Parts: sequence; C-alpha cells; structure tokens
Amino acid sequence: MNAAEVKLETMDEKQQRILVVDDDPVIRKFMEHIISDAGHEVRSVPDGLSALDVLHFYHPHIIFLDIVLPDMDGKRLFRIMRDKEELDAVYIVVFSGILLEEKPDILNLGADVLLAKGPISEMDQQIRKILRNPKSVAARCRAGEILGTDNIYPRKMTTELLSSNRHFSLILENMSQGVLELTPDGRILFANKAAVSFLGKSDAKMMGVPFVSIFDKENRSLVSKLITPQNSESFSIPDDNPIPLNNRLFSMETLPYTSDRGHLTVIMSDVTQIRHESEARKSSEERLWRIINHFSDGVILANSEGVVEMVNPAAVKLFGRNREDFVGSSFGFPLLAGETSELDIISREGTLKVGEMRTVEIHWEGEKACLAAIRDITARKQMEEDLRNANEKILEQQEKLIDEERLKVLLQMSGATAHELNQPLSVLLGNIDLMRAAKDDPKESALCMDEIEKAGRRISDTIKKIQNIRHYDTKPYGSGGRIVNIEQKLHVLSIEDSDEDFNVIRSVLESIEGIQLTRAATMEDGLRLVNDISPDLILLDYLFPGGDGFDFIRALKVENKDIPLVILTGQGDEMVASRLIQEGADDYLTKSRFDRESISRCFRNVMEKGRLKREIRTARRKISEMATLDELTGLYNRRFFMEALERERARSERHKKPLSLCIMDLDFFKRVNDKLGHGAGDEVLADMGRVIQKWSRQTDIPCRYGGEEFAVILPETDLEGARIACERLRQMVAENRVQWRTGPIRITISIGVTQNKAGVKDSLHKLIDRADEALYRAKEEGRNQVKASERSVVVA
Amino acid sequence: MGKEVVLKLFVAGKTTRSIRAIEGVTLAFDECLKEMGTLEIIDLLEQPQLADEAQVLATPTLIRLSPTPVRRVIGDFSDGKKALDLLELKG
Repeated sequence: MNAAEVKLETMDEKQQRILVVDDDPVIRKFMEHIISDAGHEVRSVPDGLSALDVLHFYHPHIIFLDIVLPDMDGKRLFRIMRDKEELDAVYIVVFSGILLEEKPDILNLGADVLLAKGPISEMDQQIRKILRNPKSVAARCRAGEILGTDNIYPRKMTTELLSSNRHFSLILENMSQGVLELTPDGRILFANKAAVSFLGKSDAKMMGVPFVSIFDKENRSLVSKLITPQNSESFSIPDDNPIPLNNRLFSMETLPYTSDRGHLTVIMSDVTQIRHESEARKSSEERLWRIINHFSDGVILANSEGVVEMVNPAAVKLFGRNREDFVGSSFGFPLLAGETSELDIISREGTLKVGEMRTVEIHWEGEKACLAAIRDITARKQMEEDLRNANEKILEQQEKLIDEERLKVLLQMSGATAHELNQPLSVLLGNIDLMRAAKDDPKESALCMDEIEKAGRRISDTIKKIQNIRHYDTKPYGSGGRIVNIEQKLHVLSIEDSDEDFNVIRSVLESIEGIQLTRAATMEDGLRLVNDISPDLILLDYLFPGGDGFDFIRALKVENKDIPLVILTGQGDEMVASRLIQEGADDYLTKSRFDRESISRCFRNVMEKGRLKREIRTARRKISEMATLDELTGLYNRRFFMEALERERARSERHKKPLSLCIMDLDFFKRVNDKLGHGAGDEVLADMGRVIQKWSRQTDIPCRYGGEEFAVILPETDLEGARIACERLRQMVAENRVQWRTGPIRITISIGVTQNKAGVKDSLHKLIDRADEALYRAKEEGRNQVKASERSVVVA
Repeated sequence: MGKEVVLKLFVAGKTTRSIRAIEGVTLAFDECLKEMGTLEIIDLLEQPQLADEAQVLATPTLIRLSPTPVRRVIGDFSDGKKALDLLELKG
C-alpha cells in the first residue's frame, strides 16, 4: 500500500483541493464544472510551467494531468510532481487522448489512474466515479484498466507519430550536448539528460527557473544576451571563450524556435577538456617560443601556405629584416635534401650569408606548420672554402714541392759529400807532394803510397754513395700521374664509441672499394690497435670514452706515430675540428655529410698530405744523416767528430805524430737559458762557434760535442802546445761579449786537454774520458781554466 | 592540359647551392614541363632589386607564378623533381 492510498482513506468524503492541467480551454471549463459541482475546490492551468507555478503555493489532493502539454513533456512534469516532497502523496489522474496508442507504463511512474480522453459524456461519468471513490478506481487501474476506453480504439497514425517521437526523444536524451528549451522570457521548459547534468540540478529545481539565474552573476549578462530572441543566430558563446558553470566550461548557441510560441532552444557544449587541451597547447607553444626566442639559430615558423607566422630575434638578425616586414612575408615550403639544406641569404644591406636549414613539422594553432631553424654557417663555409682551397693548392704544388725538396736534398747531399771528399782529397794531394819530396826514401814513399791508396778508396766510397743517392734515395715521384690512389688498399681504423655511428661509418666505407675497416671503441683500444695493425688512416670521433680527440692526438704524438688522422665531428663542431687540426689532425668530416664522395675526397687529400709529410721527413732525415756540420754553431757535428777522431788517431800513430784532444764546456750556461731564455742560450752557442772557428788552425777539427760542450781535435800537437792554445781560447772566450738584446752576455769556458798516448791501444772512449776528467778538474777548481790530463805521456 | 606553367628560380651568385639548384631544377623542368611553360632563372646578385619585388628571403627559392595560387619552395633543389612535386607540378 503506498502513501497515496493511506491518504485517500481520509479524504473520501471531505472537500478536496483539485488541480487540472490541460491546454484545452474547453476541457478545463468542463472539468472545473464537474469538480466544483461535486463540492470540491478546483484550479486549472493550461500548461506545465503554470502548473509548476501554482504548485508552489497550492497543494492539491488530486491532480488531473494531461500528459500532452504544449510546453513540456507531461511525463516529465509528472515525475517532477512526484519528486516534490509536498506532493509525493498526491493522487494523480493522468488523462490523455493517446493513452491507447502509447500504452504507457504510467503506473510505473506512480500514476494512480489512467483516464482516456473520449467523449465528454463518458469522461463526465468517469470523473465523477473517481471523485466519489478514488480508492477503488485506483485499484482497478493498478490491475491494468484504463478508464474511458470503452468507445475508443487505437489510431494507427497516432501510434506511428508517437513512435517517431520516442525515437526523437531517445536521440535527444542521449546527445552529449545539452539541449534546453526556454520560454520567450527565458525560463527552462525542457532539458535533456546532458543539460540536466551540466546544470547540476534536478528537473524539479530547474523547470520554470530562469535560465540566466543558473549562472554566476558575472556571466549572467552574457547569457541573457545569448537568449535574447533577436540575438539568436547572430550571437553565441564560442568554444574559445566559454562560460564556466559547476567547474566546467561551456560554449552555447541558440536555435531559433520556429513555433508561434517563440520558444528558444539552447545548445550547450562542454568544452572543458578542449579548452584545457588548447590552453595546455597554447602554454606549451608559448613556452616553446620563449625558448626559441633565446636560440642563437634563426627560427621561422611558416604556416601551411609557406607564409611566415613567427620569427625569433636571431632570424630577424640573420635575415637583416625587421620583424614587421618579416612576419607575413612568404618564405616557401622548405625542401631539404637529407637532414639539412643550405641557403644563401641576402640581407637588406646586401651582405651575403650562408644558412643551414633544418625543419620540423609541427601543429600550430590547429594547423600543420613548419618550424625552420636556420644556423648562420657563413664562417664555417668560409673555413671550409679556405680548407678546400688550401687542399687544392697543396695538390697543385705537391709535385713541384717534392721536386724542390728533392733538389734541395740533392744539393745538400752533394754539399755534404763534397765536404766528405774534401778531406781525403787533401790527404791524397798532400801525400803526393810528400812522395815527390821523398822520392829517394823508399820507406817514406811506401807510407805515402799507402795514404794515397786509402784516400783514393775513401773517395771512391763517397762517390758510390752519391751514385746510390741518385738511384734510390731520391727517385722521382709518380711522374705525371696521381700520386696517391684511393683505390689502393687502405686500412682505416675507426675510433668510435657509438654503435649507431659506427654502423653508418661501416655502411658507407664498405661501399668504397679497397677500404679495410677496423674499429676501436675506446681510446686505449685505439692506441693499442694503432701499434698492432699500423693503419693507413685513423678516423676519430672526437668525443669518446676515456678522453677526447685532443688527448688522442697528443698520445699519438708521444708514440711518434704519424698516421693521417681525420676527425669525425657532430654538427656545429667546426671550431673544435679546426682546433684539432691545429693540434695535428689532417682533416675533418661532419657526421651529417658522411657520404661516399666527401669521404673519398677527404681520404685522398689526407693520404696525399701524409705522403708529402713523410717524403719531406725522409728527405730531412737523409739531409741530417749526410750533414757533417752542426746547424747552430757551424762546427762539425758529433758524428763527424767521432769519425774524425778515429781517423786522426790512426794517422798520428802511423806517422808517429802527436795528437791532442780538448773537451770544453761553457760555465754556468744553464743560467743563461734560465734567465734570458733559450734564444739567448742559442745565441751564446752560435757566438762560441764563431770564436772557436776564429781561434782554430786550418788542421784543427773543432766540433760541437753536446749541448754546451765542444771538442777540438788538434793533429800534430803535443799536450803542452795544446794547453797553451787552449789557454788562449779560454782568454778569448772570457773577453768576448755575446751581443744580446738585453745587453752583452759574458761567459767563460772550462777546458780539459789530453794527448793520445802513442803505442797504448786505448779505446777512443778512454781518450775522451781522459779529456773529460781534465775538464772535470777544471770545473772543480773554479771554472774558467784549462787543465791538462796528468797521465799524458809524450812519445817521441 | 591545364594552364601554362610559369616558374622563377632565384639564386644568389655562383655558390654550390646555386649551381645545384640550377642544374636540378633545369633538368627536371626540361624533362617534364618543357612543353608546358617557362622557367626563368634569376641571379639576385645581378638583379638585387628583384629580391624585394618577389619577396625572396633566401635562395634558392623556386616560385610557381602560374598556375595560381602562387606557391614557393625554398631549400635544396639538387633533386629538382622533388621541388616540382612540392609545387604540385607534374609532367
């Protein structure tokens, strides 16, 4: 038993308050008549909204409700009534002209009685019946009866209309957009499910409520503008400027309602998510652009038409245009070949720049756009150009250079060999003279003959040497053709820590015939492999674990390896590359331009450079090997000294002539270097060379023995003679002033003298040691003095 | 056949970029479009006043003046066909 039934028990015979809701004025009149005739209080209203208004203050016992109402769905109104606390026990009679067709589940809604609208006479009876005995009538209806259907039948047309109406409602109710119907004065008549949830109010609290009042005060004027009928179609609340309600954001538009009642349909869309997304996007775009504004690369945002939408300050500077002209001008669709593409940029002032462009496709304000970053590579291009020019020049001049070097070597060698020939020739000529003078003395003659023969042999040896030089040492290089051929087998060592990069290197290098590739993943491995496999060329990624390119180049230098080295750099590392080249690398390749052609050209160049370097080095070594003179002092070098000492000693023993040797050392020479620098030290040594030259006799052999040590071989001179001569030298040195830019330098010399002990088969070293001992004593006893070896014996 | 094709290629001097672009675009044009229109090559170092006129920001730039709407591409045209594709021109 429901609450309504309980209430009915007590209301049967009393005067009841009754409300009639029906749009038909005839029906209303008729109903008012019967009801008041039956002694009850009655009110009638023509539509749902009026009903809701009346129900605010009028609480009926019975309601007669036509569910087909002009302004709102009767079923909905029904639910609202039932939801009202003060009406939950009201006795509701639903009456309608379409009850048969609709076969409503009105009982489920909680209607007490269903009454079909039929002929007035029939209705009169039924209504009186209800008023007399509502309880029993309700019981009949609960059992499934519809009152007043005795003389009416379902109409097909109405059934179909109702079915399409249901279909329409179903769609309306399930729309994600909120649909509301408003009265001309802006009160809510209808809201679909979505609208109800947007508005966050129950139907009861919403129906008849002014739509504007739902919103916060600050938004009401906007909403009221929206629902002013003359604004419909021309005014809306757009997606990008929505109105907040219940913590969500809504865009709204109105549809003009064409019915004569002037109702308005409002469509609400929840754009909260969209707004959040678009705001997040906007703020991330703004953030991105803030960063971009600090880029040193020029950045241009070109829209889908290729027109510049935004530029950063670096782009303004790079293109030499003002921002206002720039934005809106046509940049074009970027077309890249690979990762990047180079552009010539002519600024307004007419300066030419080279830019390197890379692009990213992005979405900008909902459209596809292109972000082009352009880096000023003018300086790098210039550098590359310079490098290429230099390379070409090297290639051009290479053969000429090698020829010049060869000639130089030849000349220097011939100078050296002429010098070599000088001595045996003078021995030869001298002995011929001696032989002539002593032609009566057969013993002396034989001795001379012996000397002549030896000198002749030495001359012949030297000439053979010269011939060897011509034939083998400086044979002409690759006459005419290319000097280095990349097609010959080239063993490349790639020092590369990144697997990815190495795979690129391998795939490109493998496409070049004749390249054998070995990989080292660390610097240690690299150095080890350099020793183990002796590669022809090293390809070095300048950043890798265990050190960087600089360390590696230094380590190679320490190892004295002279292998062509190509640096592999990332984009924009040209400065590093150029520093590495200064350190000793031969060339560089950027990872972005790692293609067959660049590699072949680069490898060919560095191999040629390397060869040229090697040739020159070999030539220099030969020169120094052939040389007999010390470059700095102009005296004989140590190698020549040793040879000469051996020769002279043999000669002195053969001829029973004395031979003296003195070894001398500058005093406190280190101080000169330390205080005045090596330049001054060198000048002192050179000056000493001049003093010694000046002092020595024609037959003496003055040499630079070590750093600041000198040695003089004094043929046919005994110890005393040598000591006196050395004393004279000591004095000359002490009085000499070496001219230097900071002022004259004074220096002294200590000298140790010894004489070869004839007949004693001392080694050469013993002889030198004795002179060294004497020198040591001279130093010990205060420097700037001459000491003679005590054990020297003059043999007659 | 559609409207006549009018193309202008802007370069600056005899840089490698210019040479590549001229070669690439001329080759593709001769191959596909020669009968259908004209290709003009403009060196902005020789005719700098044309840069402003045509609003060329950087070179190489290839402009399709006809058929309208005017469209342009900028960048590396060593593959001239790609440039023509971007301009929606096909032989």
